Formats: sequence, C-alpha cells, structure tokens
Amino acid sequence: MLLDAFNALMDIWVLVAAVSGIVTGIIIGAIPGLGPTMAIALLIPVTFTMSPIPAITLLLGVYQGAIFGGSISAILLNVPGTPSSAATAIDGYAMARKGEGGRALRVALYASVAGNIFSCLVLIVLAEPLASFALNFGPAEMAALMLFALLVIVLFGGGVRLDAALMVLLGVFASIIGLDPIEGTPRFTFNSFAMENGLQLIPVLVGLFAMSEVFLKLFQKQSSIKEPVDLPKIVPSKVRFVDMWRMRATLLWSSLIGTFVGILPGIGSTVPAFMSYGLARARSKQAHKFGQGADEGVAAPEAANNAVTGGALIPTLALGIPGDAVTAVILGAFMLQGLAPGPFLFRDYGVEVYAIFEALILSSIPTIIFGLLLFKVAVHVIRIQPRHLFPTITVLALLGAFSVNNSLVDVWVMLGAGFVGFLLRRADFPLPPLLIGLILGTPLEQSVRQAMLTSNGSLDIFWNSGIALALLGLTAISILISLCIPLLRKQRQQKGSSNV
Amino acid sequence: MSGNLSKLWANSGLQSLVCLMLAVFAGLGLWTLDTQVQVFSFGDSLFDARFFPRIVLGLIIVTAILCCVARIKKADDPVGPLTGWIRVLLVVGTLIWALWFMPSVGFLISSFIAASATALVLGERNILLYIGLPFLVATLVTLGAQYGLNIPLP
Repeated sequence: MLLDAFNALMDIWVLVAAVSGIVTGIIIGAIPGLGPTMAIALLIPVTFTMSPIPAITLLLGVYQGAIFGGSISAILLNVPGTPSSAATAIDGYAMARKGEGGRALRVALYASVAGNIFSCLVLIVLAEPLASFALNFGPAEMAALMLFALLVIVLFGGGVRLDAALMVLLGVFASIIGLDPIEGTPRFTFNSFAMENGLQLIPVLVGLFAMSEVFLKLFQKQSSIKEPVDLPKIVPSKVRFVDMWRMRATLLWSSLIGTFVGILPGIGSTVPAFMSYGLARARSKQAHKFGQGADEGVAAPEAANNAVTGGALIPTLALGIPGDAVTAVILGAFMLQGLAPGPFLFRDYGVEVYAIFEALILSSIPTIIFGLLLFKVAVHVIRIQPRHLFPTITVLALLGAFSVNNSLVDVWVMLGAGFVGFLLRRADFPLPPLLIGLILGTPLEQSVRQAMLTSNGSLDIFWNSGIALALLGLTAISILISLCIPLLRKQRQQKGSSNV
Repeated sequence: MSGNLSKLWANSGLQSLVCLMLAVFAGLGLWTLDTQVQVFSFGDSLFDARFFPRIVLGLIIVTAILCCVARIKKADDPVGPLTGWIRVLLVVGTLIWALWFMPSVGFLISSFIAASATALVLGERNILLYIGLPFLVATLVTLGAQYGLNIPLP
C-alpha cells in the first residue's frame, strides 16, 4: 500500500501543488489575522479541477506553511500571525531584539518540520487501525462517540464552557436545516427547494472565517495599524544539526504533546504550544533563560503546534470527527474530492490517503527550502494595509461560496454566515465549536435515531454494547475531570495564600 | 429577584443581546416546529423528524438563558460604537445589492462593486486603489474562475 501510494506521488503536479501550498501558506500565515483556516477555505475552489492527491496536498501545504508563517510575525514583531504562535513570541521576540531573529526563525522552522514529521508518522501508524476498529461501530457506538467528541470540545476547548455549549448546539441546529436524514422530510426550509440541500459546509465556513473577518476589520477600522512597522535587522546566522540534536528531548516531548492533544477534538494548537513551552522550561537546567531568548523556548511551541497537524488528522480521517477548525475545513475539502472521511476511507481510498500522508512528510523538504528563502520576503507582507487586502478577500469569498454548487443560494448562505460569525466573534463566542457541531450534527442525529428506532426506544442498546458503554464512561470521566480541575486549582490557591 | 434583574440589565451588552436573540429564535423554532417539519407517519413514533430539533432547540433555549444569567456576575462587552456598526451595515447592504443584481449584471461587476465598497469603507481614498485594484482583482478572479477552473459564473 505504502509503495503504491509512493508511486501515485510521482507526479509533477503533486510537487507543484505542495510548493504552491507551502509558499501561499507561509505568506498568508505571516499576516496577522489571516490564519490557515481562512487561507484553506478561500483556496478550496482552486482545487475543484484537480485530482484528489494534488488537491489535498496543496491544502495541507497551506496548513503547514501557514503555521510556520504565523511564527514569522510572532518572532520579528511580537505579533502572532496565528494564535498558536503566541507561545513562540515569548522567546522568539526576545531573541529578535538581541539581533538573533534569523536564528530564532531557523530554530522555529526546523522544530516545525520535526514536529510535523513526528505527527505524520503517528498518523500513518494510528489512523488505519482506528478506522478498522471503527468499522465495528453500530449506531449506538457512533452516537456515543459523537456525544463524547462534542462534550470534549465544550469541556476542554478553553474559554467559557456555556458559550462553547451554546455554539455547539447552534452548529447542530444548523445541520438540521434541510432534508431529514432518515425520513427525507424537509425541516426549516421555509418551502424553498434550494434549502432542501441544507447549509453547505464550504459556504458556511467561508462566511464564518473569511467574511466575518472582513466585517470585523470594518468595525475596528480606527484601530488598524497605520504607522510603518519597524522590523528588527535579521543578521545572517546558522543553526547546525548539533544545535537541534541537543534539543532532541524537548522536540520529542513537544511533538508528543502536540500530536496527542491534537487527537482530542476542539482543543486546537494553542494549548499544546503553551503546554510544551511550560514543560520545556520545567525540564531545562537553564530555566532562567526562558523568556529572555532561549532556543528551546522557540523550538518547543513550534514543534508542538506543528505536531497538531498530524494528530488532528487522525480522528478527522479515521472517524470523520475534526480535531479543530482547520481540520474541519480539510474534512470539507476531502468530501468535495469524493473522499468521505470515516471508517470506510482507508478501505475504499487507501492509496490516495497514504499518498497524501507521504506527501505531508515529504513536503517537509520544500518547507525548509522555501521557509529559509521566504522569511525575509514574508515579513514585508505584514506591511500590507487591511484596506488593500480585505477587498480581495471579499471577492474570493464570493467566488468560494458560489463555486461549490454553482449556486447563488450558497453565496447568500455565506453572507448570512459571515454576519452571524461577525456578531458571535464580537460577542466573544468561539466559532470552532459551531463548525464542529455543524459537521457532527447530521451523523449524531442519524445514529441516535437509528439506535433508538432499532431498539424500539429502549436505552438498553447503549448499555448492552461494550464500546458504547466505554465511550459513555469516558464522557462521564471527562465531565468529572472538568469539574474537579477548578476545585483542585481553588484548593491549591487557598493553600498557597495560607502558606504566605 | 428584582435586584438580580436590575444587575443583569446593568451588566448586559452584546453577549446578553446575542444570547437573548438565540433564545428567542430557538423559541420561535419550537413554536413553529409542527408547521416547519411536517411528519406523515403511519404509526406513532417518538423518534420522527421532529425528535432531534425539539431536543436541540430546547437545549439552546436553556443554555442561552443560562449564559444570560451567568452575566449577572460580570459586565458584558459594550455593543460598540455606532459608526462601526454603520460601516459594517453599509458593506452588508452593498453585498446584498450586489448579490441581488448578480444574475443580471454578472459576477465581475457585482464583485468589483462589493470589493470597491469594502475598500472605500475601510478608508481608502486613492482612486487607483479603491477603483483600480478591486477591478483588477475582480477581473483576474473572474477570468481565472471561468477559463482556468471552468466555473460558470453568472
């Protein structure tokens, strides 16, 4: 299978797609506010005429490139291009102020590649066995799994849990609009034939992540950056293999954290980046150097946030459960290419999927080459004014929404989703739970109703299945943990204050 | 009780408004469920097409109210300056206009107008940049989509 997949990669278009994706990703990632989610959502129409392997390679290249691109502005300007690079900015910016910006960027690049390769290897090892195991799942097991995934997003996704719960429910409700998955009854379509297809994923996410950003920028016009950005001088420097080898334990731990936190739905890459930064500082013999420009302070979060890529793809591809907003978009791209993520993906499209995994590993080479070539160019992208950039995003959003089904209804849906997304973001509600709720809503309803119909309304179907019971047990444990953590923190704080 | 209500009123802002709107829409959804989801089943089944929406809408109402109540403890973010809302609504209005007339005037003109309005409202005053740049982008995207990606744009 791996050899067949490698043969499928021997196509010039795969290389062209990987390079274009990485270059685009690095440039877009360097612009604060334009993360990988928006970049991938806007680039999906470009992949319509491409075959699945180059199409997905291009989008994953954008993902890889954008995460590294985010660290460029974080290191040189202390302005994280993506939220996950905020941890990189702590030591990266300190290094840049000392004139070691070039070194910090190189450390970030090599650590990113190390994290990516590690997580892709885990992805190759774990995804297919997980998918094969999921082939045993019936409706009760699937329902329990979806419930567990949605609860993990609410409990551990960060932020206010009630807000996340409300967003998940809103996403699930959005998935209800259209034809009922079991009986085919129209629901909340307001007698519109066009709405019977429901809210399509791509127009909704283009609206939520691209159009809402345009509206936010319009709202905050006064606070846009007007003064010229001062960039620190990048002095030529070298990071040798030995320098990275010395950090091997940090890189390994950070990659492990990134990969395994990435597997959990809804947590994203910011949490593992800070977790691995904290661990690297705790393990270091020179902990005092952290915050003042330590190599490991840059390497740890970068390895972790890139390792999330492979980790988040494991549940996305094996179970159809996206790990975060970016993988939700990638899931949409897989579906548009006819590769429906889930347990049958590896059975039906094994060669294509393994080719994509191998492309993800091999694209580390162009990432290094173009990362080194481009970081001096990419920093100038930060100077682009929003008033020049956002009109282009508006045009691309209109095209992106239209091109999915060549339908104007989708463009209206995109506009509506954009305005709703703007309102929700202004009100500090998190959008990724909404998107994941939208994706998981239909399979959740389908499996719950199938389970209840086959058992004649008896809940025994859940108790009689070992897998469903284990998943419900995990759900209960997750709720308990999430309740205990704040209590333990409170106790610790009380102990600390009484000791003082 | 009245103290809590007055505290809620004093602390309310955009978040409370959004929660309230969601609760009202979910309430309306529940109220119109029977007309919006028509079920033609021969037997009585609890798990019909209304089963899941009923649960989800009910949960939205409960969660939205809980979100509102949670705001009693801390002040909400303010709704924001009126000028900001006007800027957003101006572009939303232009986009609605552009979409409405897209079938007759075409994607190129509509997207150019939308992009140009965005640039203008964002503060661009150089004619080359609020007319020329959006036109160039709209033309490139339209031609690329039609001839490169074979997308039949209006």
